[in-house]
Formats: sequence, structure tokens, C-alpha cells
Amino acid sequence: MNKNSLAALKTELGEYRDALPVFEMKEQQLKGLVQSIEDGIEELKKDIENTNEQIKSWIAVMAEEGIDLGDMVKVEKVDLEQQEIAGVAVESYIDIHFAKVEPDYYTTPLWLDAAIEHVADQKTRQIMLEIEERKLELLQEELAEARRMKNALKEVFIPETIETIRKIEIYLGDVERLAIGCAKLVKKKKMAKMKGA
Amino acid sequence: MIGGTYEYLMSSLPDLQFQNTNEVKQEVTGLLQKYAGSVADQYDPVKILDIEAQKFLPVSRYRIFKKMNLKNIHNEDFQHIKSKVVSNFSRFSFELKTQLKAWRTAQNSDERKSVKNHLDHILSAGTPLEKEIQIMKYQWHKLEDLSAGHFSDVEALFTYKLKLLILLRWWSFDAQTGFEKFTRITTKK
Repeated sequence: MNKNSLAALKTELGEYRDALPVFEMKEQQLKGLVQSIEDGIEELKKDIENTNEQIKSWIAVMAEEGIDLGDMVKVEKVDLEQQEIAGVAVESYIDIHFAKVEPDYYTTPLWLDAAIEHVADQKTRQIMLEIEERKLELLQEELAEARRMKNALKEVFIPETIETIRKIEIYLGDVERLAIGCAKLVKKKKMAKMKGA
Repeated sequence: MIGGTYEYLMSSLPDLQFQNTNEVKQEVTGLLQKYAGSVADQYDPVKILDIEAQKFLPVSRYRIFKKMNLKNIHNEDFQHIKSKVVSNFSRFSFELKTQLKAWRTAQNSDERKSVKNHLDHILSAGTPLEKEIQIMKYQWHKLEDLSAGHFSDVEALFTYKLKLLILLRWWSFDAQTGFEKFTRITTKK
């Protein structure tokens, strides 16, 4: 406990105070992003559910044997964009490409065309959903980290450093007063000695 | 048109109607399964009918009978066989599939052109399921026309198999199985 450590603590406190608004801002930014991704995920889930409802009236045809829809609708490539959002590296959906498969019009049934279209659309939504859920997971982790840091600074580091600084300042004040007192006492004794002589 | 050898078989086969009710399904499949007799593990109605027909048909006709299904009936080899019902139905199927191909190709093209088609009454409206039922009904009525007057001869037997194939196709449509397939395919990685 000396003046050097007090100076170091004051520098540290300054750094903590500078960092706090950064984490508060990051938390706000991430909160907004997480909310908009959650809304997007909700929308996608609703679309998936709506499609499931819409096709219920004719989905029975897909039970027909000998038609492999999986072979007819194959994902060739998913285009993703690498982005950095609030310091987090995430992937965003851009486009999807399906392998072009021409059905044999003489051996495949009519319903196959509608089924291919709906399977491709639904598969696209499912892939978009997976990508968004992955992105949400990463941003939620980052949001939790930003929140932890903000709370730690606000509730622990800053108050504890202030308290330590206060204690050191009291201690150093006491030491200084003691030194002055001692010096005065020594001076007084010297004066008394000189008077006696 | 009474053909003695076929009379017994035709009269003992379950009556086929263009219907999709549990009652009709059970009656037809149940009766055909009774035919399976000693072949107890045989539950496929088409295979059961094939086995029964083999007992009555000459080898060359049985080969055609066994080979024929709704996917290949339009093939050229069926268009030129002796059986009038089969050859006419084969030509009809080829024409039907050609019309469907023209419609499907136009629908699948980027512009989705509208083409004049003899099947407009079937294809213009309705869900894919309704369209399939309309197509099967169209095939059924064609078979009825082609087989008029044939009750217990070889033509009646061929007609019976084709009608059975149409019904079994219709009866295979099942919403739960279809939805399970759809979900499996769309969520598969």
C-alpha cells in the first residue's frame, strides 16, 4: 500500500470506466440483433407450419410407392456470406441451388411436379432456419458474455476498486499524519532540549 | 363372350368399383388374400391375381399379364399385342401421358405458358390429389368402354388387372405416410 499502487489502481479504475459504456453499448446492439433474429426464426417457423397445413389437402399422394422424392430434390450448394456482427463471426444465408433433375414424364405421376416445388421450398426454409438458429446461438453467447462483463464492471470491479482506493487513501493519509506528528514531536523534543541546555 | 376357362375365375374374383372406402378395400383385398391359400405369406393383391391368372392363361399371354403395370402400359410392346383391350388401353395411355408431358413441360418452364390441352377439364383446377383421382377416373372409364361386352374372357381378365392396379394406386394414397415422407425429405441434411 503505497502511492504507486494507488496510482496504478486509479489508472485501472479509469480503464474500467472507459470499458463500461463499450460493454453497455455492445449489450444493447446484441440485444437488438438477437431480437430481430428471433423474430426472423419465428417467421420461418410459421411459414414452415403454414406450408405443412396447405399441403395437407393433397399430401396423401406422396405415399405412393416407387417415387423417390429425395433423389428428385437434391441440394447442390448453399451460398453463405461470412459476416462480423458486433465482433462475432457469423454466416448468413444468400441463396440455395438444387441439382436440376428432369423427371421422366412417362413413368412419373403428375403430382411429382407440385411435390418437387413444395419440397424444394420447404427444404430452403429448413436450411435458412438452421443457419439462423446457429447465428442466434453465437450471438446469444456473445450477448451473455457482454452482459457478464458489464455486470462485473458495474457491480464488482468498479465498486471494489473505488473501495480499495478509498482505503489506501485513508491509510496513506494516516501514515502522512503520523509522519507529521512524529516530526512535530521530534522538533518539540529538540526545542525542549535546547531550552534546557 | 363367354370363355369357359375364365368364367370360374372371373366370377370368383371380388367385384371392382371405382371407390376408395375402407369397406371396398377390405372386401377386395380380403377376398384376394383368401385366394392366396397355401401361399400364406403372399399379401400383395397383384401377385395373388398373377398366381391365379397363371393357372388359366397360356404362357405367352401370362408373360404380358404379369409384366403389365400402370408405369409401363404405354410402352410400344403393349400397343401391338393381340389383346384389343390392352393394346387400345396402351395407346390411350401413351396419348394421355404425352398430353400430360406437354402440360407438365409448359408448367415447369420459366414462363409457365398455358397450352391448349385435351385434358384441360382434368388439369385446370383442383389439388394434385384431385387431379390424380380425375386421371385415374378417366383411365377407369376408358377401360369400361374398351371392355364393354367382355365379362368372362381373357380381355375381362386383363381389364380386371388394370382396374385393380388403378384402385391399388388410389388406395395407396395416405395422408399420414405422405406427410411423414415429406417431413423426412425436407429435414434431411
